Amino acid sequence: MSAPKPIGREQPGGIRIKTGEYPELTWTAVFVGWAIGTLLTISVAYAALILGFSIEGSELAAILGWGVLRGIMGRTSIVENNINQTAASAVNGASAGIMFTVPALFILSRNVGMESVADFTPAYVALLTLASITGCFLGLAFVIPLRKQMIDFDRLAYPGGMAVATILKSPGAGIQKAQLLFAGILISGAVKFYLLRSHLEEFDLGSAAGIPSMWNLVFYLSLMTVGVGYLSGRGGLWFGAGGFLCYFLIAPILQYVGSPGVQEILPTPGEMRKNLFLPSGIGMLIGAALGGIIMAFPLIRSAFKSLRNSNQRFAGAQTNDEMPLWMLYTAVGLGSIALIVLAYLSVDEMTLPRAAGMALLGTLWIWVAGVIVSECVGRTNWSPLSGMTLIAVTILILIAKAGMSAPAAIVSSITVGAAICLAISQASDMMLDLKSGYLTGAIPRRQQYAQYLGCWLGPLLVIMLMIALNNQYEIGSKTLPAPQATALATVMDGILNDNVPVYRYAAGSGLGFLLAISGLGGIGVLVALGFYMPFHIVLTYTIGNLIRMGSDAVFGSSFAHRVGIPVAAGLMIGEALVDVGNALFRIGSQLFAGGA
Amino acid sequence: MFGLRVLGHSLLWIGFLSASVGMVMQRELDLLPVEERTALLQLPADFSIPADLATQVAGKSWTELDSAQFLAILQQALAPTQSAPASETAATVPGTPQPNPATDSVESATEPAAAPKLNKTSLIQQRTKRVASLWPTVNWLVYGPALIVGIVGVVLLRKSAQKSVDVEVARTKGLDPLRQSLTQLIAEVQKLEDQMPAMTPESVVAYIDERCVEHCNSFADQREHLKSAFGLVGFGEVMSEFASGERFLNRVWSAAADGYMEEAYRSVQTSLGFFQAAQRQMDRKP
Repeated sequence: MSAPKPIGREQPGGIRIKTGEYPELTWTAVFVGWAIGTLLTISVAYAALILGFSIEGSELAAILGWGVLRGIMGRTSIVENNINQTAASAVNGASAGIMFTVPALFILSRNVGMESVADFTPAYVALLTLASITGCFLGLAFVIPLRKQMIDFDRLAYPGGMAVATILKSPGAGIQKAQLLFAGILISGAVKFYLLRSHLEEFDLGSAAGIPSMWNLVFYLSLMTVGVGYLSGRGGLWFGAGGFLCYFLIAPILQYVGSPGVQEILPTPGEMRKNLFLPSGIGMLIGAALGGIIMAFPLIRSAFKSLRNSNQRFAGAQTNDEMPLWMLYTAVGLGSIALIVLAYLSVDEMTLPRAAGMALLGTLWIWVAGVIVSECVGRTNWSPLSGMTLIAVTILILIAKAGMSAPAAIVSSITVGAAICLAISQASDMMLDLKSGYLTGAIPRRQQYAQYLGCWLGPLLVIMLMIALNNQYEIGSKTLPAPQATALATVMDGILNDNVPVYRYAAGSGLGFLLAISGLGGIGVLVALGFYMPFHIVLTYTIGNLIRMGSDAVFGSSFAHRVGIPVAAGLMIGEALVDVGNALFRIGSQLFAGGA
Repeated sequence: MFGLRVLGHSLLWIGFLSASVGMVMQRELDLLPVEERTALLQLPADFSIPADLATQVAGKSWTELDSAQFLAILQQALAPTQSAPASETAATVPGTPQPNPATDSVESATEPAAAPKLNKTSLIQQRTKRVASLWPTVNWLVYGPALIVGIVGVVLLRKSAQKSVDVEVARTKGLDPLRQSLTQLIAEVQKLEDQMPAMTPESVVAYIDERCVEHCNSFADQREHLKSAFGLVGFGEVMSEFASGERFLNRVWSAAADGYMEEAYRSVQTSLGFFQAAQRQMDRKP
């Protein structure tokens, strides 16, 4: 039998041709992903407690993986590095999921009568960790079947996924694209460094031009945001429209028809957002998502059919490219049962029906919120994770507080709430990674396994880190202010005292639903996100949209692929790198000062 | 048809905007008695008051005080608060309990040693708990009719969309560029498959960038015509095949850039198979 004819020929000094299996889901990639993910998770989780925001891990994991896998280990596979960043960002998904929720227990425990809520016995730590891991598994099982609809059919941009794919492909993309990518990184990094040094965050054009503060004409100084807007392109304009509607149309109308209470806060857009637009935006997001699910039902059915078929049509392992649906259904079933058991065991006062109610409503919410967050990240790169967690905790406390003491209601709600927050966080991270996988030609099934292989590690690490930090510095103190968890604690206290703006959520959901059923593809979620997000970010993002539309009109869409996208990806990466560097520097300074 | 569409858009957006105004034209504070609301509105933005002052003075919580009691305590507290910094005022209150970060301002939450205070927002929240129902915060009389106007707009938009979809036109005119892009793409991918055994990895990467990406983008950019012609289910069936083909073409690129030409060759065959399946789906549709 003659040897198979070799494919391709080498060019002197060019790419060396290799034989054998193309490395993709390898243990090397998974181990490197765990290692990089651990490093990222500890840094990002610590930073989240101090600074109050989380940093998306995929881009940094791709860059670090590029250095480790290619630079140190001499491995040359784009799709293997994609698996590494998938696993690493899955580990890092726990940073936001846990640090935005569980530290609220430490803060609430300082209230009179609430001391017991931060009783972290070994049994409770084990239960919280298991609940968090269950949440991760549930979130992934719900979102994986939506890959076809969001990435294949709707072709959502996922700017973060595009940036990751640009990094992963940079070794083969040619010198010009690599130069553009690095130019973007350098410019954005240098600008961010300057802004940090100068303590500049925004430019108040309104004040400079003498425009009333009600119009909120303030720009967020961030080249990353411009880059994200560019990558989102024309489709992102409706996000801007939501913000413009709030401050350029509704606010001026309120000047004439608003009540005295509203008139009082008109000149302070921050108060307007907090009191009026943010809760309405949360409601709109929910309504838009539900309407979107109903309208897209034939597409979702088609996606499920296609998922079933994709594993039956071809015998080859390569085209058997989706995780089997039975496995996902099993994960949802077992995850829901596990969540009921864990909710039941979380506090002594819990009854089985109440635990079942909390877990089942929580599971349903994971699906709805997973869709909302994945779509928002896909269209704009911004995740309304805290808003969705807020709704989850509200639902849970409302179920728990009828018949249980306040401390028991808080502990059980935070336990299930942390699982939900992690589920939502994993869902959006998975979709972002699947987009980078699409652009690099990865097999989705392998990425989905990598995400499962990575997601369990994060909760273990972050919960241990959180307890150690609390023992050392006390969460909620000046050293570890935990701003997000403090905000959640304030809201939880409000919920226990029946202070929930349900009326605004309800009105907002009606409007979100209206836009979703209008047939004007996907604008409901975008306009809702425009209501929800701070307007200075929306304004800067819109600049990116307009630059993309301008460049497409003048130079054609191929210019964006050759020049614009590498530069925009560089702008995102440069700022993220300086942000992480700054966070680490501040942590180091604080540790040094504490030690001294 | 055009007129129906314009009318639909106008009603949708007028309804949406008006309902949005109805949704946010009032605050919870506006449901309080007028004197109380006026007093609260006149408080400075940085106002704060000892959290337990109401209990000390009247033996009731801030929520339990009636309007007259509340206004009296507020008036009593305002004089020293205006003349001294908030922290000093709080520090003079004897017997302050341990800090309560959940109900205090964020600033005090980060400083466990500070005395508990209520800021303006928290004080308003305490008082609005007295209101029987906060649902009238949204002006439903504006919101409801406006929402109905918006719904009428949506109905008109959907009717105009149904009428404007002339399936024949969509098939011939709308689908022509799509068919053309897909046919050209299949031809290029077929050529790539034929030539690949003799190509260098660099030339495979360049071939895809220069001769395939444009056709892929062109097809994807015009995919909405598929919905008009085949409906959502048909759209999903075509796009599912096309997207798999594009993903495998991306895999050809990655594998070639990494030097794995056997994988690139296998993937180009798979990619071609999916693109051809997409074409068959389009041809098979009624």
